[in-house]
Parts: sequence; C-alpha cells; structure tokens
Amino acid sequence: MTDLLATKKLNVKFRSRGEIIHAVKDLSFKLSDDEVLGIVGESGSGKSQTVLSIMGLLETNGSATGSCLFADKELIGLPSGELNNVRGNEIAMIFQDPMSSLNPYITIGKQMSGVLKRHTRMGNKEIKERCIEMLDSVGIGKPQERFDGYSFELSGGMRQRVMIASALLTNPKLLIADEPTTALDVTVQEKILDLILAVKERFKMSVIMITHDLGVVARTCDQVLVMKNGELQESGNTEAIFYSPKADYTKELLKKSKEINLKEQQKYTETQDPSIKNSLVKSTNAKVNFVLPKKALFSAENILTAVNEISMETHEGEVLGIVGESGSGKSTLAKTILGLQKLSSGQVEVFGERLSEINKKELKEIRKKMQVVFQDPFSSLNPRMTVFEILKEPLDSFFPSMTKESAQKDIEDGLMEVGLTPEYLGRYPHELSGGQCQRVAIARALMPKPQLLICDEAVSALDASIRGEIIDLLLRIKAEKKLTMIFIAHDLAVVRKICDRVIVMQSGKIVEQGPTEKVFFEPEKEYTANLLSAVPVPDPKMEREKYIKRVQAK
Amino acid sequence: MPTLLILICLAFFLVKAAPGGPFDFERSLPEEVEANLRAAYNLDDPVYLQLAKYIGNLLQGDFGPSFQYRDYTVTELISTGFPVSLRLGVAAILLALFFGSLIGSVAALNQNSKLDYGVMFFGMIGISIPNFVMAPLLVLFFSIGLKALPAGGYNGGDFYHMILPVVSLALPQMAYIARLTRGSMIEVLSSNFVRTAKAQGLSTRTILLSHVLKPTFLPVVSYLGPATAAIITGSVVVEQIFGLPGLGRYFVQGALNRDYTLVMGVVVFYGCLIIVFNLVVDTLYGFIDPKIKQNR
Amino acid sequence: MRKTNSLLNDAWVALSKNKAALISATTMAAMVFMVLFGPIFSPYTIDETDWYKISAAPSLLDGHIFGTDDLGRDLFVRTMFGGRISLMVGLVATLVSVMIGVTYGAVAGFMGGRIDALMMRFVDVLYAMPFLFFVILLMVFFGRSIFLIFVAIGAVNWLDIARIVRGQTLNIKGKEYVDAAKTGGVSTIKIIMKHIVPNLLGVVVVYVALTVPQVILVESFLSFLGLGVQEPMTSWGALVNQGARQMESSPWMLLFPAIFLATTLFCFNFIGDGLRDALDPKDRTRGND
Repeated sequence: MTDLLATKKLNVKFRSRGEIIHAVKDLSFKLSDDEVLGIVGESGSGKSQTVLSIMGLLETNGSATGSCLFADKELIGLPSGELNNVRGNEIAMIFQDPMSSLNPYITIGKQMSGVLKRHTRMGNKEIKERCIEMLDSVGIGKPQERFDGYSFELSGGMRQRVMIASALLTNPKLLIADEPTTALDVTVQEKILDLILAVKERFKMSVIMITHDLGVVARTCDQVLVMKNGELQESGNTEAIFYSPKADYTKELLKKSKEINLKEQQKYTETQDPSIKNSLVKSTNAKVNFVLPKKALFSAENILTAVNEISMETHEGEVLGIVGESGSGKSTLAKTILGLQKLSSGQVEVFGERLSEINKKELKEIRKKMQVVFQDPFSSLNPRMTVFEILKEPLDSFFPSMTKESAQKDIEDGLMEVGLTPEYLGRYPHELSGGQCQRVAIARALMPKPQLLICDEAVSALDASIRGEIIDLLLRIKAEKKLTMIFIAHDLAVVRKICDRVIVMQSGKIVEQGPTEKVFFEPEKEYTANLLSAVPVPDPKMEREKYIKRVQAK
Repeated sequence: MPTLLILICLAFFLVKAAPGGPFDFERSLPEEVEANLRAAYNLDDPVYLQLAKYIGNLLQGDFGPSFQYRDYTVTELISTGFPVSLRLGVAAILLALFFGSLIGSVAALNQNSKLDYGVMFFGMIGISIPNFVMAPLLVLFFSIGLKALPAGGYNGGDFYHMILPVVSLALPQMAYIARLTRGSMIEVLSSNFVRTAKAQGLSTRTILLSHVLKPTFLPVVSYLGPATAAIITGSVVVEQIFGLPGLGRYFVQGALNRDYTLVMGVVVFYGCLIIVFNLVVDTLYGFIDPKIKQNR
Repeated sequence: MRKTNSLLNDAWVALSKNKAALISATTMAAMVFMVLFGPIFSPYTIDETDWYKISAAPSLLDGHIFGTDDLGRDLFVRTMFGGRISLMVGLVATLVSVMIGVTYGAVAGFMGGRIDALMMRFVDVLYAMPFLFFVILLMVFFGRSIFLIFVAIGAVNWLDIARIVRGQTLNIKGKEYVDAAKTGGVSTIKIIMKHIVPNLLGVVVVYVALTVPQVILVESFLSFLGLGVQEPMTSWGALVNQGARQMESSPWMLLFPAIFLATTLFCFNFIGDGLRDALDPKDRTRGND
C-alpha cells in the first residue's frame, strides 16, 4: 500500500489579540489507500484544525507550516487556484453541523451541480442525472423531488446524507469527516456511520474520521491518532490502541469511556418488591398537546402531542431514568411533573396531590420537596445575579423567616457540598466554567432540602471528563441525602450507570419500562434493542461483530 | 389594506378633532369656502356617513378642494407635484442602492483593512449628517465655492439641476445601506455553508455569485420599505432647500399656512404610497427567500 | 466578596475598549458642559440685538466668537441655547418612547399567546404609517408647542423599542433560569423584577443611546421646516434653516449649528454602536470553559 496522504511536522498557529495560539504542534502521520484513519481528542485538541489546515480552510488569522503531501502533491502553501482543483475533487469533506453546512437559499440540486460544473466537463443533463443517482445511492427517498428542494425541508440525518452525496460526486480519493454525527441522534448516527463505511467500500476511498467519541473510532477506524492540546499522544492500529494503549492519556480516555460504557454484565435478578415503596410521582394517562402555528389562515389547527397517554410511577429512593431521542417528549414530561407545563388531559400526582387540582400555595409546598437541574449550565443561571444571590433566592421564597446568619451558613455549606469554595459566592455565572455553573445549579436545587430531584439532561452539555465528575457528585449527594431522582437523558451509557429503573420513550409514548439491567440486557421491544445497539462502544471487536450482524440483516 | 383604512380614519378624525381646524367655524371663513367645505365633507350628515363619503371620494381620487390655492383641488396639486418628487426619489433610491451595496460589499470583502475602517467611518458620518444639513453644505461647497453646479431651481428637471438634490437625498441612505450590506455579507461569509463551498473547491467568484449574494441582500431588500419612507420624508426638505416644485414643497407650504385639506391629502397619499410599496417589497422578499415561499 | 453592578460594569468595560465610543462619550460630555455653562461666560443674551454688528463674522475681539446673525444676535449664545433645546428634546422624548416601548413590549412578551399576537399586529400596522407626516399633521392642527413635540416624537419612536423588548422578553421567559426560579417558589412579580427586567436593561440601554440621535434628528427636521420650536426660542434645526438662507453672505451662520448638530448625532451613533456590540445578547460571548 502506498501513502495517499503524508504530513510532516505540520504546525497550525492562530494570532488572537496579540497572542499566538499553537493549535497543532509538529504533527506527522500517514494515510494509506483504502484506509480509515481516526483522529480522536477532546475539545481543544487540535483535531479539527489539522484537517482544516490540509484543506486550506483555516480562519484568516490562522496559518499552517510544515508539509502535507497528497498523492505526492504538496498541499501546504498551494495557491488557492490549484488547491481548488484538489478540494471537492480529489479530497471531499463533510462537517459536524449538517443544519448550517448547506446553503438554505439555493436548491440542493444547484449546490450539488456546482461541484460537478467546477470539476468536470459534464453537460447539464448529465450533471442532473449524476446528482440524482448519488442522492439515491445515499438512501434519500424521492431524489428527483429533493434535487429541486431546499435543505431546510430535511431532517438533520437527511442533510448529512445530502452532504455525503455531494462529497461523492467526483469520486474523491479521500473523504474527510469532521465530527459528522455529533449533532445527530444515536440511531441516526448509526445509519450515517454505516453509510460512510459502505460508500468507502464502494468508491474505494480513504477516510479521515474526526471524533471525540472512542466508540465511533472503535466502530469505523483502521488506524487511530490520539491528540491532546495539539500534540500527538499515540498512534497505531485500532486494536493496538484499544487493547494495549501505551500513552497515559489514551489509557485515561479509555478508562473513562469504558467506565460508563462497558459495565460488567449482570444477570438481572429481582431483589426488591416495588409495591412496598412509596410512590412520589404518579401519572395516569398524562397527555400534553401543543398547538402549532397555522400554515395558512383557514387550515385546521396543527396539534403536536408531545406527551401521549403516559402512565408511570417514581418510587421513593430510586433513580428513575427516562431516555429517548430528540422529540420523544421526555423533557416535556419532566416539565409537566414540575408543574411548569399544563396537562391537556389525564392526571399527574406529585407527593399525593393532583397537580391539576391544587392552588398556587399548595404547588409551592410541593415544589419545596421537588427541585430541578437543567441541561444548559449557562442559561440555567441568571447572568445578572451572583452565585450568592442565586443560592439565596430559594431560601427567601421557601423560608422567609430564616435569619441572615443561618442563611449565610446554609449557602456556604451548600456550595461546599457541591465541591466549590465560598470564594465563588461573589462571582457571576460568566466568570465560571460550564462544570462550575452546573455545580451551582445543583447547589441551588438542594437549598430547600428536597426529597425529589429532577435532572433534565443535566450532564449532556458537558465535556466527557467533566461529565464524569458531575455524575459522581450527583450519585454522592443522592446517597448522602437519600434523594429520589428522575434522570432524563439521551445518553444511554449515563443512564445505565446511575439509574435503578428506566423508561424508554419514543414520540411521546412509553416504549418500555423496567429495572435498568433488565431493559439493557433483555429488552422486550425492538426499538429499545436498536437504540441500545446503536450506541458505539469503545471495543473494536464488539463493534465489528455488530457491524457484520447489521450488514447481514440487510 | 387594514393599515390603509386606519390611516385614513386617523387622519379624518384628527382633522375633526383639531381646535381651529377646518370644521371649526368659529373663525370667520369666507362664505364660499365654508359652503364648499360643507358640501365637500358633507358636514350635515352623521359622522360615519361623512367618513364613508370621504373614503368614497378618495377611492375616486378626489381629495377635496385646497384651502389656500382656491382655484385648485388637492388632487390637481398632487398630480403637478408628484412627478417631480417621484423623479427625485427614484433617482436617489437607485443611487443609494447601487453605491451603498457596492461600497458595503467591497468593505466586507476587505474586512478589517484600512479601506474597511475608512468606509465604515464615512458611513457613520453619512448616517449622522441629516440631509437638511448636508444639502446646504453641498450647495456652499459646489455652488457658492466652486461654482460648479446650480444652487437650486428645477429648470425642467435637467441633469445638472438634479445632481445636488439627488446626492444630498441619497447620501444618508447610501451610508445606511453600505453598513447594512457590510454587516450582512460578513455574517454570510463566515457561515458554515460558505465553508462547505470552499471545501468543494469552488472559485471565490462562484462562491460569491451563487452562495453569498442572495442571503447578503435579503436584509437590504427588507430595508427598502423604510428607505422609501425616509426618502419621501427627506424629499420634503430637499425640495424646500433647492426650490423644486415637488409635492413635498406644497406640503410644507400647506403646513405653514394651515392648509388642512392639502396637508391631509398629502399625508393620505404618501401613506398609501408607502403601504403599497411595503406590500410590493414583502412580495418581492417572498420570491427571494425560499423559506417564506414554502409557507405560502 | 466583589460587589459590582454587573450591567454598568459590563457597559463600562465594553465602552472603554471601544476607542470610537470612548472618544464620542468624552466629546459628548464636553458638549453638554459647554451647552449648559457656555452662555454664562458670554456677555450677550439670546435675543439681544447688537446694532453695530449685524451679520458680523466670528471674532475673538468683540466676544461674538461664532459671529452674529442677520438680526445682530450672538450666534454662540444662540447655538448653545439651541443645543439645550435639542438635547432636552432628545432626552425627554427618548424617555417617553422608552417608557411606552418597554412597557408595551414587556407586557406583550410576558403575556404571550393571542394578546401578544394582537399587540404586535398593532405595532406592525403603525410601522407602515408615514409617521413623520403625522407628527407634522399634529403640529399643524394643534399648534406648535414644545410639549407636543415631546409627546409626538416620543409616541412615534417607541415602536422599535417595543419590538425589541418583546423579543428579548420572550427569549428570557424561555430561559431555564426562569423555570428554575419558578420551581424555586419565586412569585411571578419577583420573577419579572429580578429575572426579566434586569436582563432587559442591556438592550434598553443600547436602544436609548440609538434613539436619542433619531429623536434629535426629528426635532431638528421639524424646526428646519419651521414647524418645531418657535422664536425667540431656537434649536439647532431652526438655526441650520436660518443659516442655510444666509449662507452666501454669512456662511458661519450655517456652519456652527451644523457642526454641533452633526457632531452630536455622530457621537450618539458611535456610543450606541459601541454599547450594542458590548451588550446586545446576540453577540454576547460565553464564559470560558
């Protein structure tokens, strides 16, 4: 095998406000024909800047030095006219955010045709045929119609397929995929990754796959580069990296992701009788409808049922997980339990009170026992309030007669409990990191000493390493305070790690519910099974088996 | 359309409510005028009928008689003045649109260069100096100082006489459009879909023409409505300064002389014009922006 | 523990980084000072005629530093007095429009649903009207008083603010900290006062700075046409009008008021732009991770 791409001492630097940021340091690697190379690292590792520099797509304040030979042609420093003959033609690229990577103002067909007009001498008719053929081959239904349609009519997964179709038009030798599935739901991710592998085989390409997810690497890559702070930590073939890592950083990364991904399989045994337990939340046929804006003046009202006839219970002392993909209604259900969203029909009982039948004062009494932590650490704290004011607010409203001294003490204790020191009291949210903000949000939720804590995607917006810390914190607090928790997430690994019982939701309905181990290892419904197997795990052998199974199933 | 109706009603009732207004006959008006008015506004009918008849007359293009120019109807005055104003306004808006978008695009393509900063600074000056200040300054410099261009007069609307009025009317709008274009284009240039186009190896020219142009000028198109309103307002002072026999000048004369029917007629006329123009712009926008087209 | 008002602090930090805005703010402060205290140091008054100096050019010797007008009145004093009127109209009418706009927008945004849709439809309708003409209509029918100028201009300029405040309110209402406060048992009034209003302030400050020059512009426009402030009072717009008529013989009569007016508008626009770059939540950069 020959080298398709070889970089030598590649450096990327940015000038920003007089400072020089060294984003990629002396990176050398090789890529052979027909090979999938993964570049993995956390945010700020320089993995994206590496490929952007190869493609000549750095921001204007960035510059690349060193060498990058593509089919014996030097790419670094190549004049843009010549570079344009390579990119989009021999090297194609797809990006993380399919929502904004396609131009919403011109038709999909026009965007795709542009590539062929630039790089080939095909006639208009031929171009159209080729585009439609490509759309068809990436699994887009009604390619004729889509050709004349716009990108905003499509879902995220479909848009990524269109991106892939555009990339394939010129039969490139190399496809660069920069976090291609990060913004997508896990079942969609599976399909897109499979598609990339399939077209790689069919068009005999090499692929560079940039990702932060070791599971994605295990699933797709032959070779791996591990990067941290712009430096190469380790490189080698995938199995070597996963089964006998050498660099400390790689070991650490693997340990963290295995911790939540590959828990020892336990055979589920029923140990407790749930009927003894007191139920804190109980919903019967709960239904929430949203009226969507009308499309035309006289058209019928569009009703979206976000929560559809949900009946569930939360028992005292348990951690209940609610999982589902975007649009499954899991967050709406949480808002309904919190009394932030009105029910359209059915009943929700919280601490024995029916939410639809109580007045404001009674609702306040219930809320004292029930608190929430939201997803976005920044938008869940008021930017104009200090940490002290944020923590004091629930005390003021729930315990108006509390003395200043004991409030001060409670606030300081509360902050210590989540691992922050009292010096943070005077700070504003924008002076804190994401993880610290989330700790403050947890401290605020604990101020009224609740019995039930609802976490709505509380760790989803955080980097992997910080996510682990916050999960540990929640588990510790749960044990110390004997809390009951409802944990809403789309990340199955996290749910599996901390939940006793799981509810799987899809399009507003409960698909399946039961003890975590049972749902995870003996799922009854196909949807649950698919959802579970779609999650990429950091184990190349296991992923290969899964892939072969999927291909055979087709 | 409802806007138009509200506009007319508002104007109508304002006139009725005004102290010392045309329907306040405590002031001694010449008999004939009063009789004319009574007839024109059907003052002996109940209010709603008066309004209905007024609207009916408007629909037939009848704005009633003028107070001051007794031999003319308001409709006649509008039809003499408006062509002059239209000529001035259309020239100014085309000038502003063309140079504004050109300058703004050049600045955006050279973002953070000295040229860009220069353009933006002069843009700010253009926005900050109102046209009634700009116009005399231009006259002072080009007519009195350099003696290069005529200081005023219509002269049948020949090219030299129109240069200064058109330029001073267009400058603030040109500056605004330049800033708008620049901001919009910079945003589009840094968008992900432009990065995609670069990654596809398209030339800068193709990227600009087929990917950047349309989204850049959407905000400019939607600014056309307010720009027209501003140009109309501006034409009032510019006509005054340069002594052009346009509608704006009649309007100011009417306002200073309390020619109620004329003022009201012009307000209603310009109101209709702006509303109709806004409708046209909205439709145009709908044709350009595919997202809106879909919802129709 | 650090106790700073975060908003003022932010605004200050942002402005001090923006050179153009900083220079504008300093210039503006100097001009306000001059307009307020300048006339004290002049031996002349606003409507006193100096019979020996009709249309005299500026001169340091006789104290007519800006010259005199065609009635022999001191132009420096007149420009300063005109400035008082222009700036006062700017401030008061802005306050009127901000008060109407913020209340209207906040109510619409907070109520949401049908009420919101109806209120905003009304704003849309008003938007399409040729407002300046209406102000002129008002002036014609109800006489030309300063009070009416305030009200008329204020009533016209609230539309922008109402729209923006409404959008911002809707945005804040959907923020998770508002939901968190509700679960924290905080009452509706307190949520409005502590969570919504303080986060609106940034936007309001920006639009105050951007509305002031607009308002001054409208006032001077009216005065230029002779429909605004009446003699013996004057304003920059009126002075520019008089100057424009005499510019062939006494160009200083045009230049001084024109310079003051343009500089003021220029400064306010730069300050507003600077504040917007700094405070507009749209461009707000996130805290560091």
